[in-house]
Amino acid sequence: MVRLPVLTELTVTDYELFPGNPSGSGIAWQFQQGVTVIAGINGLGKTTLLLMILRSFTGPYDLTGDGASQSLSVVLPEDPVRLNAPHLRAFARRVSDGAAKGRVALSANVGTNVITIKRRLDNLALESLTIDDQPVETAGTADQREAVFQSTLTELIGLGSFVDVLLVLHHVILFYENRPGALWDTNAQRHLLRALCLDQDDAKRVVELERQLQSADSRARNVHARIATTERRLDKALRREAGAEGVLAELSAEQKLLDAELADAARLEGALQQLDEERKRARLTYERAKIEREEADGAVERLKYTALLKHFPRMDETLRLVMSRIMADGRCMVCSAPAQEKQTELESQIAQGCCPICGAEPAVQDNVVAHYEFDQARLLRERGRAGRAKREEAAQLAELEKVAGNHKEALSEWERVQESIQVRTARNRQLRAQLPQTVSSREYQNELKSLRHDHDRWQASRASHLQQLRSLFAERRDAITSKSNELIGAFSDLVEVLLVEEVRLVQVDLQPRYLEAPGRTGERVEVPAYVAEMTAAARPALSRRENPREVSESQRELIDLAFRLALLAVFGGATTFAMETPDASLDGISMERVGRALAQFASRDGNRLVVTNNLTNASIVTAMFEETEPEAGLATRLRRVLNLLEMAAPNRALIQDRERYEGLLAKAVAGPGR
Amino acid sequence: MSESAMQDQLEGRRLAKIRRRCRVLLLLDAAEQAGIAPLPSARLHAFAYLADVLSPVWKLIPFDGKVYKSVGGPRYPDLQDEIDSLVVLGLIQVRDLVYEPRAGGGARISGSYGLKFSSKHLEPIFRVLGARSAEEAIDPEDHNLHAYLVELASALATLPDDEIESATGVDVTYRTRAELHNVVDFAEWVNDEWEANPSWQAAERFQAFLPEGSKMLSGEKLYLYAAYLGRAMHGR
Repeated sequence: MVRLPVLTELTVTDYELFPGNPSGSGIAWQFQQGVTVIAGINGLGKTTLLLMILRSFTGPYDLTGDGASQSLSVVLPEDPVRLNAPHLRAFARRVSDGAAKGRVALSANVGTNVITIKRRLDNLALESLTIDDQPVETAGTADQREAVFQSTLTELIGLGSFVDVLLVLHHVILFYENRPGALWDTNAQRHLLRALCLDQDDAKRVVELERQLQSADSRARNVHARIATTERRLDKALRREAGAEGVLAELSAEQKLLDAELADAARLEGALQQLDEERKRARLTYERAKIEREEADGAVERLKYTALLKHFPRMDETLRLVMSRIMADGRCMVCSAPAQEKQTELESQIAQGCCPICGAEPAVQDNVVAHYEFDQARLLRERGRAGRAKREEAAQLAELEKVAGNHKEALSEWERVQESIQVRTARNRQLRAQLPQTVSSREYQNELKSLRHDHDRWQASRASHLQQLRSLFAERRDAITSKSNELIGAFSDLVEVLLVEEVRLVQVDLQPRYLEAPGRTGERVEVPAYVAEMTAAARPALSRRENPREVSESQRELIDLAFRLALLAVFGGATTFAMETPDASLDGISMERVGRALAQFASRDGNRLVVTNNLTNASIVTAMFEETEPEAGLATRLRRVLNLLEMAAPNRALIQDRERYEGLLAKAVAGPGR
Repeated sequence: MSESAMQDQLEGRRLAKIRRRCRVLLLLDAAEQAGIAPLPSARLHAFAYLADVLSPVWKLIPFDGKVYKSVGGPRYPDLQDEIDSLVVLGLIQVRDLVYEPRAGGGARISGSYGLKFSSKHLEPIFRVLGARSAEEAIDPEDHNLHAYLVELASALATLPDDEIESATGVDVTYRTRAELHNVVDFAEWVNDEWEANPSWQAAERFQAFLPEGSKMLSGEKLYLYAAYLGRAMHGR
């Protein structure tokens, strides 16, 4: 069980950017349950304050030397990476005294424990660490002290490694300006699900196997390159020493052709994998289009069938089916010919109470045919939907046939190249056997033999690690997917608030790209993962969006936000979520939606929400307060605002327009109606 | 696309329709012989799926190597179109026809389907499809396919009626190979059909329970798999 930190207190002292109010007191902030807004205009240090929260946890280490990257690689670093100088000195560079005396202290509940971390702001060094007010012994060098801190925090949180702690901080808890993805970055998502769902030993084992697999793959690739170089050297040596020009010329020509075909095979393998993904996506879309078409047609037929049932309660069901089909899609079900005229005629007769068989009007009927009013508006609507669904089905079928055709062509080409490679390799060996053996060439041949042996060894190692990884994922599949329904449900609740479009989370299997060295196609590991599916204006059915480029920038952010909050709801227990408010990508109405979704998180027992705001795009703050404290007055709400207008060193804009900015803050917190 | 390619494509689609119609007739005939006809829609689609996924047990290639996993169990819209056509052509009879509303606002046709024995065309069709003997079949191998469907229907007949459609929910391939709203691919575009079809693996594993030297018949594997489905549905 993972125990994520719940922030309780933040203290910043002797840091020039935050002199505090009264001046010299610094910042001493108690995070209450629910919302905390860090408010201030640009340049007052909102981001700096959020960064202090992050760096209190990470210290001088992170996932890369430059902090969190926008997207994660397929394999995580083995150990945390020491930050590069600009990042280590980020706080020092913002103030004139180099933050020599500046200190930050952060307290958080982690499970039943309270951890307090105190760091220097000039170099992020750990100054003290306490758990439940008891100092933790951190003797030795700065790195040794940091190692003790990292293992203590990792153990308290209950993750497999400090790298996983960094992963969860960046990709779940702290939604900062650079916003590394959680859902869209498939590597990050895989690492997160591993870290949060598997027990610590399994989580560590997966990372270890992934690293060993990539290492074996990389070595196989290097040895493969050395084999090629050695073969060229051998050829040169033979040419020099033996004078077997004729055979060598042929061998050289054959080798060039073989190299070209090997390169071609590698290119085709890459293309085949991409085409396979494309055709599977096209097949899924087509299968959905078929279901949608069947159900849309069914809705029209249902209306017609109900009408016929009223007219002819005893009519044979087959006949009723035929007539309702004719009236529904204007095609005769018996002979498949177009029957639009008959369709119009039948509909008109039924609407007027005339007999649909002989056309007799109600006045001359002995057995009066019941008059049945179609809901014309509904009929038109359903018929429109059915028409669209039919066109969509035809379009998707054409797309599927096209993509599957491309795959088939590429596969035949790959098979042709493979056959040719086999023939050429045999010919290559045959030619080499004809060459005379000399001392120098023998050395190269021995080297080649040894390299080929190494290559086989690394390929075997790669295959073995791949198999172990595949088995481990297969065995632990239930652990990874056990909370799937909860996650999908939590995501659905959140996304309903965040977006107007219908979006759902779907569980799929992804194939991480561990391998780069040449190998058999099909050497893949399947890992459970999630993708988003969404409607769009021109396409009402849900379609899969695997790539962030398939949605707008704001949709991408909001879907990722929903995924992070859903992860926290399912795996986090009581926890913290800190978010730097998006400034540019969202309009005011979307901001309100974000505010409401965040308020849902903040209202859950024990959760702490920290949001920054620059006062110019404040509807998010208003919406949050309206949801969480609808009855509270301005003074009560202001107690939840860490007000940098008061606590930070004023810049020119603040000195010049303080009153106006304070007015903006009051309006944001109280709402426009107050 | 060239005219001849378009012709080929149209011909391919027409043949696919005929193949689906023959499949429906064979499924219903097998159900009839096993005494489980008529089949309500959901049961008929479930039977079609199980017949596909367990085909390799009988050393047959599945008719359709994939199915879309939607709410309510396997559903083949193409197959349903041909079922409806066969009703109109007078080869199948339908009872209790209704249109069931679906969550997305649409509706699905649903009824109880059985062969219409009064049709004089039915028996000649079955003869050429190999449902009566190998000698009369266009392709004698088709007789083996029919024998498989009858054996499977008989195995499924050991489950209470309403459990055949629910059985797909516990079928190992349907349950584990894909999540809801995805395609369950067990034989269409997979690298390894054995690995992609855990139902086949499970049925073959029953052999391990026999004493060494004994050989289990394919039909026995189908019966044991049906028994497993029954137990799994009741959590045993």
